[in-house]
Amino acid sequence: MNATKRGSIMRKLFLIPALWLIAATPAFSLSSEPYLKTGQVDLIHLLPPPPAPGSLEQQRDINAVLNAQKARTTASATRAEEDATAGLFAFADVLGPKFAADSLPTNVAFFRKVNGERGSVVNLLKDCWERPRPFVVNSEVHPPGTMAKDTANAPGAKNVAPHDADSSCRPLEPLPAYSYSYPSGHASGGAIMAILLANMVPEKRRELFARGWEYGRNRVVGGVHYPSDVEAGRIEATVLVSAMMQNPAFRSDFASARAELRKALALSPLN
Amino acid sequence: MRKLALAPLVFLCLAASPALALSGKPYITATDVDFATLLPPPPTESSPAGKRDLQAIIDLQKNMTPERMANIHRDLDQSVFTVAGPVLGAKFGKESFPMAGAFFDKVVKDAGVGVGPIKQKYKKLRPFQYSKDVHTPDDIAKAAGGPTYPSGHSTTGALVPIILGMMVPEKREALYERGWEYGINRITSGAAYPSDWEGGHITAELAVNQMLKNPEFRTDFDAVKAEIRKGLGMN
Repeated sequence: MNATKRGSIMRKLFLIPALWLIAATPAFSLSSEPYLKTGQVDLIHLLPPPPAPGSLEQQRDINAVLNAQKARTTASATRAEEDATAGLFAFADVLGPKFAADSLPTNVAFFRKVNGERGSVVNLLKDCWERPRPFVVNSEVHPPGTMAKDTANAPGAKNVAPHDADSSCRPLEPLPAYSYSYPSGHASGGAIMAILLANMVPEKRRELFARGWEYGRNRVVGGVHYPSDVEAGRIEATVLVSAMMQNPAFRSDFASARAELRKALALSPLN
Repeated sequence: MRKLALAPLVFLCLAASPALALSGKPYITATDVDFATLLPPPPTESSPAGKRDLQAIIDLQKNMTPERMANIHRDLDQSVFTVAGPVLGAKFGKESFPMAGAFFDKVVKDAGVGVGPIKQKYKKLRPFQYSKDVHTPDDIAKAAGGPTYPSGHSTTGALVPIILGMMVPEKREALYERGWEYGINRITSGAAYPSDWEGGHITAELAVNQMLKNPEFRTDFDAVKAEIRKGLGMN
């Protein structure tokens, strides 16, 4: 083996981890600090408590679930099942096949972080009001496929909400088999992704919001959430984005994700 | 002569003083929250969500009763006494709670930065303007001048329980139930869609979340809370 050839192999060996680093750089360049500061948003005091059992609103809510079930078709049931696990790439319906994980590592990491922080807030709120799912309280509600099962409580889940007198949180109860209904995590996820994507691709603003709102609505179609869960999830998402937007680290990461997305979609950069 | 002429003015100023003690500055300004970016665009009438929106009004109107219609007319007024009266009782009136009245009028007015400009951004027709299947009493139709999204009434119907629920947590659930029903009355009148109702709720939540950061709001909030709790005989 001569020196030139050895040098070439060395260079190749050297290049492999370098390539790996380049590929991973966008994801790793996200801020390490949380986008939301502890106590920045007091949703337990901002959100309406869920309709009380026996109230007119509860009656309206369950009727809406039953009516949505009556109107359900094979196609709409499948769509609801798909949205139960689709996540970010549900929005490929609007943004096209170029909206795919392979070319969007920064977006994947950015939305994972946003949804992680959002999800923690949702779980805290769910444990505050302890509202059972529609299919748990009404035996006429039949979610399609595995949608009911997929809402099972994760083993080791714990009540963490502060049950102070002013919050209207229910007294702590042992955890049920299924996670609580209010607010809907999927509806808040659909809304937060829609709001952020619409700000990255304002050309498709209306369609992105419509898709994100459908994503939430599909929880009612599937019988795993009430309309009021969905509305509360959307409110939660909107208030959280308004709070995140005040954080310079969030704004910087958002700008990186937007630049990557617009490039992948062959759209001109935005300021 | 001049002194005599001034006397009623002095009296008026004294009587009005609790209201005048509120902050002279808005609790929220147009640049504090980017409502235009955060609020969803309303569904178009021809989309699936838009069709569901219209059908919901038609279904509500099928079950119209004289009592519901009377409530719809009562709920045209957006004062805190109309919104919260059914929960807090007959005692809760303008005369005994002057500061509360002025405070909530100001909250509703200031939160308008999240209503009026959005209405103008989308300029969506009211349901009764769009569909002949929606029946709205003439006086309500005439009074509903601006575009439909988001609903100003539903914004008020959320602002009141959010803030009042923090002042009177004992009645928090009932206040929300009433506030959401207040917005449903607006939908039932044919002057707003369910999506306008939801948009109004989002606006209200964003507005209050911002107002809570304003020290002048918090000062006024504390004073109004004291007035309300004392007036209702609460600790």
